[in-house]
Amino acid sequence: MELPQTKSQFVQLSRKLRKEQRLLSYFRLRTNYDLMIGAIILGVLILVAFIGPLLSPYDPYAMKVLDRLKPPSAAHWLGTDEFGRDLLTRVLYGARVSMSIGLTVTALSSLLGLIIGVYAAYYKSLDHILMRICDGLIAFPGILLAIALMATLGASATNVIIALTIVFTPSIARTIRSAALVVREQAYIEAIRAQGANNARIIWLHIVPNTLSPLLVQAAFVFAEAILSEAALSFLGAGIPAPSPSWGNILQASKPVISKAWWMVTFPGIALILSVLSLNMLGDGLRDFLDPRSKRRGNKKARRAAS
Amino acid sequence: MAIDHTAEKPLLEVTSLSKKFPVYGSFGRLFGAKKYVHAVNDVSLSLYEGETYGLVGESGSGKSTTGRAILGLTPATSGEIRYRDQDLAKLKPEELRKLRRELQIVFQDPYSSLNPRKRVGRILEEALVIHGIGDREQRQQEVFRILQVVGLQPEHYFRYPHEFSGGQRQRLGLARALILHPRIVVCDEPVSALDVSIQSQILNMLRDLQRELKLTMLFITHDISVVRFISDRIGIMYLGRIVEEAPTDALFANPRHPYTKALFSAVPSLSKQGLKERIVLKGEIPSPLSPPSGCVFHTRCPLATERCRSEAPTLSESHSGHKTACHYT
Amino acid sequence: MSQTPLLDVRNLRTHFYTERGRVTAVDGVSFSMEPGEIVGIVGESGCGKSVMSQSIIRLLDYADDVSYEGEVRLGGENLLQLSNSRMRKIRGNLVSMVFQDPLTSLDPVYTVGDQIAESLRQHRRLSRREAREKALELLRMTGIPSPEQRLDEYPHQLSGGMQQRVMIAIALACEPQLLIADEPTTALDVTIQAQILELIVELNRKLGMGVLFITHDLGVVSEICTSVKVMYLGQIVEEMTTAQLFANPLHPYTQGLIRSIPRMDGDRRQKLHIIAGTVPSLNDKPQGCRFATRCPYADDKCRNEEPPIATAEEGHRLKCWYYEEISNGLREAVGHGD
Repeated sequence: MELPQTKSQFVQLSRKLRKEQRLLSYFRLRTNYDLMIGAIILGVLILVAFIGPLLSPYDPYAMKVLDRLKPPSAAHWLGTDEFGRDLLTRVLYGARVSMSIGLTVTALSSLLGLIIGVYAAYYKSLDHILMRICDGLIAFPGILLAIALMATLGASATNVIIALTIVFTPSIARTIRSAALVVREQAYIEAIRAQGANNARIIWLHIVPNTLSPLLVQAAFVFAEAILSEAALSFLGAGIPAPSPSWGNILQASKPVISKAWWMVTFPGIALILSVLSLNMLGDGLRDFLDPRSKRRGNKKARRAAS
Repeated sequence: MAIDHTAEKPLLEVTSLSKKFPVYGSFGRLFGAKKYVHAVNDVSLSLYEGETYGLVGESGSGKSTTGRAILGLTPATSGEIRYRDQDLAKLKPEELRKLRRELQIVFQDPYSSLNPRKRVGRILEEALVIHGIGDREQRQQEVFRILQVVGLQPEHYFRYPHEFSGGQRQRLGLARALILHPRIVVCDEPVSALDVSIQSQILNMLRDLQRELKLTMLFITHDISVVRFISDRIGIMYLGRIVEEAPTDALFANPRHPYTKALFSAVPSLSKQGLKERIVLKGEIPSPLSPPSGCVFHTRCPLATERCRSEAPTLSESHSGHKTACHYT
Repeated sequence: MSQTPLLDVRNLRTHFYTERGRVTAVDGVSFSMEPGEIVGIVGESGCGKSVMSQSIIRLLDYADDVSYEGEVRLGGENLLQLSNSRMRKIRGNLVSMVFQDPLTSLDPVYTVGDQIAESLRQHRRLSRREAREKALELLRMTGIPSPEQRLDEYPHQLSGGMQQRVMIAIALACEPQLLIADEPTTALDVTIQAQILELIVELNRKLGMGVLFITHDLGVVSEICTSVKVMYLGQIVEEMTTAQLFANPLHPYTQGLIRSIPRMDGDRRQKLHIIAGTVPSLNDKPQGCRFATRCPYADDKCRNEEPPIATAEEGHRLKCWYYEEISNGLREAVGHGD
């Protein structure tokens, strides 16, 4: 191949090679069913969460005493709750609450966990302090810690986010730290240092990018757990205060009427299961996709026949 | 290329370099360091401009630690590393970083020394970015140039390290070291992970480049025939000390230290079939946790006497440029 | 030559099934060895020498999606067709193996003595005490310093050379007819390598077992092997006695290999010989002669047609279209090479 002399030649060459790379990634993506199914379900859920409420003709707070505890019908597809509010609308608004709290908690704890993890891995002196704090936090059962924090902070959406971020940061920090410890010992980090790079450059440009794939995988699981924990907090009355619709709130409200109104526990429950399931599939799929060394062991016979 | 260096001033001079690694007992750091691994012990050597100095030794001899300590990648416990009238061991990290341009290293393992997530272009450009050299386009051109120097193609700019074979990766490792136009390159076992047919390609290239670019090289290896091919002068290390140092031809014509003799005789010969007559060393290298008293080699030396057990020999010059650390040469 | 060879490999092929399709790592290897011989298998990484040796005792059964073709006859039995339970009786008993990295091949939670006794107790049904005595005897035979003490030590307490001696003791426990040594000295220092090589030769003479010695180091071959097979991309390209290997190598690959090694007695001012290019990937092997892409003598015939196995002289066979012309100096090197 000729040495690319002009800028346009250079751009052309770079474009061609990037395209090859993209095709290869596309192929690996297409054959990764966990990742595809998880991503599609999650995408639909997020879409529903953010545009669904706009499509619903009902107000999630409008009570209609006459319509209370009606089973699913043409007017109310998922039935109504104990105040006669449309359950579908409540579940859709609840999705918005769950998704946004889940996303915010995931983003915040990922960022904090990343910073704590890489610095703990890089500086031995910081390691002892930071990791002992993380150990302390992990020692508490997550939901208990969250309840205790909520009791101190008071029930509000912001406080749920703060409490859950505190609960989930240590596990991400641990994951990142162990990944970063491995990266830190790699010869290419020493090579970069031999070239004269300073610590900040080594940490942010060379260690961090190599910890992003475990971070992404862990984040998917934290997302799922955050949604579950928020629901649990709300169910226990320590989360989003009523009358805001959240899946946990709806489930809590369904408890006294569980024998009379099966729909009130079923539909938010399904929503919860679907979102957690899709996130877990996404997490598993990401792990396979991001780690080129993990060989998925397909059906032996099928592969043999194919070749 | 037998050059007499005695009059010349060395480019880099290492004096009494020592490196100890603490080993913690079963109670960890709490009760303090219990023992030390004496990886490098009182090593002195000089690198003269444009020469290749081969540092040879078996595993645990401290040859790699010496190379790393010279570059400041592992801080030395004591000793002086004088380069351009500065003691590298005493420089502040910031000053040392600037000097890194002139002191580069090629690593042994071509697989782990390249960041698997970066394209080759980015890996090579990194050094230029760190030292603020050129703009984006100039840097790209510089990378193309260096790829050509090490016998790779411009299209490799966009590839990831895992798409390369072992030999090609070692070329990349060399390109990364050379892109900053260093004066001294430490090569830490650069060919030991490679197959013979690839090894010969890399060795030829290293020697050609070293002459073309007038590099000063510290070549660390355990392979006797490789070091004979590439070096102008050779230092033999055993258990953290240099036991013999001489110009290559003089050393191979007349090895003086009993360890050197045994080491050379252990190399399998291609020209004669069957097990050859050799000096078989008893036992194994002693633990560097508690190196033997006196001469470090006395536990395995066929000629050791009472004097060797108690008194450590110094590295002293017997012929021009030929130094040996042995009481009986 | 005796009538029944110790090991007779006929047209062995080993296929791996990967995401990218079927890969044939060993591609039609045939050879036989006599009892008491030390046969060297030489080649660069990726030539299939390790896979070939592991296929012989079907170690790959457990690893990945693998299938074998051909025959591996050991004392009249075709190992490739034996049941798994029969195969287990053969491994470690009639045939045993020594690996490159002694530390990872030893189980860190058992003492050296237990690990040597393990195979004795399994194959020979010895009592605990008998096994221990035999283990001590084996350790003593490998020349390890203070064997009584080593018996109760754990692998990490030993140096690399001693670990390899322990591996050899384990391999020899049941007095195998065939010892497969896969780069047993590559991870060791030269002075220790010399000790281990001497041990292997000594044991070979004393016990009369055949040794299949896999290595990339021609120097080692020259020291201990009686005959050599040179492998390239899954095939044996040349086989001959060790004396012939150095006196009269005929295949361009073998010639290149020998010439590219820096020698202790050569002119060090001269450039090293190089074999151009790199070993092609197993996924796209050349059509004709496997070596054609790197061979300085290759022409269209070489690139399109696979050469048959030719016999140059007694015991010296190779796969090359033009070896006679090359050795007579009638064929000019073109293109590659230096």
